[in-house]
Amino acid sequence: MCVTCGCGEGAEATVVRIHHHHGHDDGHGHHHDPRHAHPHDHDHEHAHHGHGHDATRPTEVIALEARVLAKNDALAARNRAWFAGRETLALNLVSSPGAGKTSLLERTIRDVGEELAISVVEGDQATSNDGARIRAAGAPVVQLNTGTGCHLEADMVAKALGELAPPLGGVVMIENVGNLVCPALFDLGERAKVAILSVAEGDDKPEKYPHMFRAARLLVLSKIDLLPHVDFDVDRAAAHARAVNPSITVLRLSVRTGEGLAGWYDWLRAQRVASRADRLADL
Amino acid sequence: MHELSITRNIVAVVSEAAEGKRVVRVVLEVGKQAGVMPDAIRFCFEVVSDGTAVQGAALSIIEVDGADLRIKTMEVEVSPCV
Repeated sequence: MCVTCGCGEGAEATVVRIHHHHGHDDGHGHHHDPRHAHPHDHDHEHAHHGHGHDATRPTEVIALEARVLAKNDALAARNRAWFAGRETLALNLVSSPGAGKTSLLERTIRDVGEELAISVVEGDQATSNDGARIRAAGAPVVQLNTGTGCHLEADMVAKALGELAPPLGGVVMIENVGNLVCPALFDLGERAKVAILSVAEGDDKPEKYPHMFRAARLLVLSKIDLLPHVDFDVDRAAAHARAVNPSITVLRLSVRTGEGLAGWYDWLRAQRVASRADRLADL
Repeated sequence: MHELSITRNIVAVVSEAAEGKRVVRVVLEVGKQAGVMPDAIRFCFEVVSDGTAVQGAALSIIEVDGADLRIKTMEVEVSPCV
């Protein structure tokens, strides 16, 4: 077990469907399990490179060329195909803890949740606190608890989607565990990662966490109502982000005042249209 | 750290490929842009490989360009030629 964060020891993510307080489901029986037994999809090349003889036993070197994350990537690809089949836009929301992912989702659901048919997969180490907030905001939600895990993986998301059974043509928001490091490595099958950075953080964060900002399609600068009280330079943050990812889009908003939310909703609508177009182009 | 999850994957892949033979060395290629720390993998490897076919194997990590993370080769003990 890694002493740094104790990640993973015996960990199995738990999946909880968040219901209304009076315990009734939202009334549909369609449960789809996108996970089936998967074949081993790494290459096995048994090229014999000759025998090495050490002091004890002869050995042989076998070429594996196995991509370590092949299993997660294969499941992510399956999730991606599942989303495509259901004409669903899937987004992976990432940030430091406390940047405002859940608040942004609450506000988004209240404003355009019905229009965009939003449902949510919530990821945290523990508690259903965020799941309960999302439910109260009015969207179907499944809470994943990773226990000690520091990031969501494709298999956990696949399980959650089976529980969630989102409607066709809608949007699934996956709120990842608050962490700017590890989630960058684990494809969940989303169309795009949305990185959220609050102005209460450092504006050089994109350079300090390049892997995450390189992997993100959109950078949302949140809590801009706090700008008069902090030293955050919005233009500098955007420049840092573009330095690691020239094609990243940058939006700024405040969930509290509503400033900039229209731009975020327009971006969501545009992504829906673009993902439909991409699907048709693939045919 | 996600290196524990990654190391578990490595040990699982190699154990399966070894098909019961004892593994003496695993050669890993880690891309510089992969967002993975080789030292953390080394640390986790010893712990994770304990009790598996990979226990006691040497781990060689080669840093390369790119973002890939790949098990290049494994070296296994073979039964002496008859």
